[in-house]
Amino acid sequence: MIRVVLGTLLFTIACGRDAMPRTGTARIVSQVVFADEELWHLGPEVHPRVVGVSPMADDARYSDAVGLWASSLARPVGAEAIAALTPDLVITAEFTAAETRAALQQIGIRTLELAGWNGFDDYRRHVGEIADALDVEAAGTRSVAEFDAELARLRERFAGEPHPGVVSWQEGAVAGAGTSFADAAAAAGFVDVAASNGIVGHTTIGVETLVAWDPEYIVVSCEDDCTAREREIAARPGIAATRAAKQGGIVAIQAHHLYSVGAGMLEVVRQLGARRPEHSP
Amino acid sequence: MSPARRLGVVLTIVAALLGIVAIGVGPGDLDVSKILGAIGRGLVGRDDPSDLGDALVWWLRVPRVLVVLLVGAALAGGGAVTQGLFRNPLADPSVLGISLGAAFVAVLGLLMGLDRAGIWVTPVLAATGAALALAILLALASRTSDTTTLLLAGVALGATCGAATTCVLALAGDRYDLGIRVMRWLMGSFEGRSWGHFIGAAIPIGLGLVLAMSQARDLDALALGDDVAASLGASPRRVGRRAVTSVALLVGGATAVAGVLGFLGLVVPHVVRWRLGGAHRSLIPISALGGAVILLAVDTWTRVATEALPPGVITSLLGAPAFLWILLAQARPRSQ
Repeated sequence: MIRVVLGTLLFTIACGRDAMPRTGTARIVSQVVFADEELWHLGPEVHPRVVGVSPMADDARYSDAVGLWASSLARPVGAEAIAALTPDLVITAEFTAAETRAALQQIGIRTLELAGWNGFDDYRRHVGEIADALDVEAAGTRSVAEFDAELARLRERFAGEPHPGVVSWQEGAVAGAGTSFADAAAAAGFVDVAASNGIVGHTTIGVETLVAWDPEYIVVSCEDDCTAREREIAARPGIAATRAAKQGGIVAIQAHHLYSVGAGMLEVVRQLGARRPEHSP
Repeated sequence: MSPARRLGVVLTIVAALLGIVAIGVGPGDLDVSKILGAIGRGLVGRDDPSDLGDALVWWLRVPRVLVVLLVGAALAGGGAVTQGLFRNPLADPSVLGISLGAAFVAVLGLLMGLDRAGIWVTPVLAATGAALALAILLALASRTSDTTTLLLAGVALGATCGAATTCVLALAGDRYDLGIRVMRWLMGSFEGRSWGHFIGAAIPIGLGLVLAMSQARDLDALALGDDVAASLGASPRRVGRRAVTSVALLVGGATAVAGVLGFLGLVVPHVVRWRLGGAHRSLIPISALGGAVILLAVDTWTRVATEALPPGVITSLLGAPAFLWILLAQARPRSQ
């Protein structure tokens, strides 16, 4: 009886599948914005195998993959919706709901869990893990090589003295050593003041501490109102006294770039570097 | 000197000393002369907002200390009035739903991204929420003189606003940045509060304290029962309306400027009533002073020792076990 039920189930699943390449993992679902972006970068070899992307793929506040994936492609939420797509591989992260990850494992769906989002090295590692899981190692190597080539070009452009101090300050939350911001700041020729003050990872500081550090640049996030945001932050009590506010060093970067852990990190390098004294108009 | 007056003097001295400590400590290379210079320049209106020392002392620390004192006084004073109005020492100003009303409108503003227009937006929205909650409560208070009905209406209003806030958060569940902003605001904080916040909070809280003190005698009469109170010229319905208004001004003003802070409004007046008795003429101001001192001590400690922990978390964390200890201490003499 069990064999009949299992056989019927497998037959139903097989009938429900579209014609997919037989090599590697045929049906992929992403539950992470980073994977939505990177699956696209891996190229046309991978695109037809993606049967679902994360619900935030089209949210311009967080994603660099807006408009890339067809609107007809599924954006599943929860284990049930993911399982209904009969995937061979689901890409999750450590912050994906624990219940969803457990349910997928119980159903027997293979998952690739990405963990650790601390800068350029983690980016390269994650691309490698995805490419390995999809049997597209060459595409993964190419994607990382493109990233590194652009990074090298930007580093060269922003090399040289001086190395002004910068703080990424999001209403108290700052990024210290071992973060993607620290890597981006260093690549743009800046010194991460939070890291210099012994902060590792992300933590919260008071505005008094920010003012006492007196950085030359303060990076904040914005949506569509970046210029207004820079003015608003520069006028705040206390912050108005910092060198950043007095010398036009408040830099508002769109949130989907600033919080990116993918290739979007290069845009942070580009925008930050463009504000260096020798590059400012 | 009466025990109430003596305690009042002691608390005033402690508040002044704590205030000096709070202004004197913190990040930045500032010695005593720089701090005194910044305060002196600020007092005569010759401060320079673009000077780092003046910014730290006069634009951040001094207004923050004053806002903390105001909020502590408002919450504990509001608690004393609430407990008097409902004749229940376990009543908390939050039972009227004012703080949750303020929180709901503030969270709605955060969801819509209105807070990005400036740091004054969220306090204004929270004050609007508190005012709306007050309007609903006043409409109810004008229809009934029964404080139990008023209490239950406040609880229902608070539950509705709490549920609506949860609903907003659930609908925006995929916006993690919003979740962080809302959580920070709901935890209660004095981070970055400046003169604008102080002036904005001083008006409703000052009015609330004056109104509360003007009700002290009537609240004493209310403690003897509705009939006795009426015979003494304290109409329960009128007292209810005024008491609700004063609590709304105090809690609404405090919540608007600092977010939601728990337990001060419950524990402080409870302790003061335990030590000094239930006469509101001393209960309200001593509670206000006590609340101000405790909140300033907590905020100064969190500011210096750990910038990551907002004071609202500490007041709740310490408030609950402290309240249990007080209840046990009060129960002990009775059993002997």
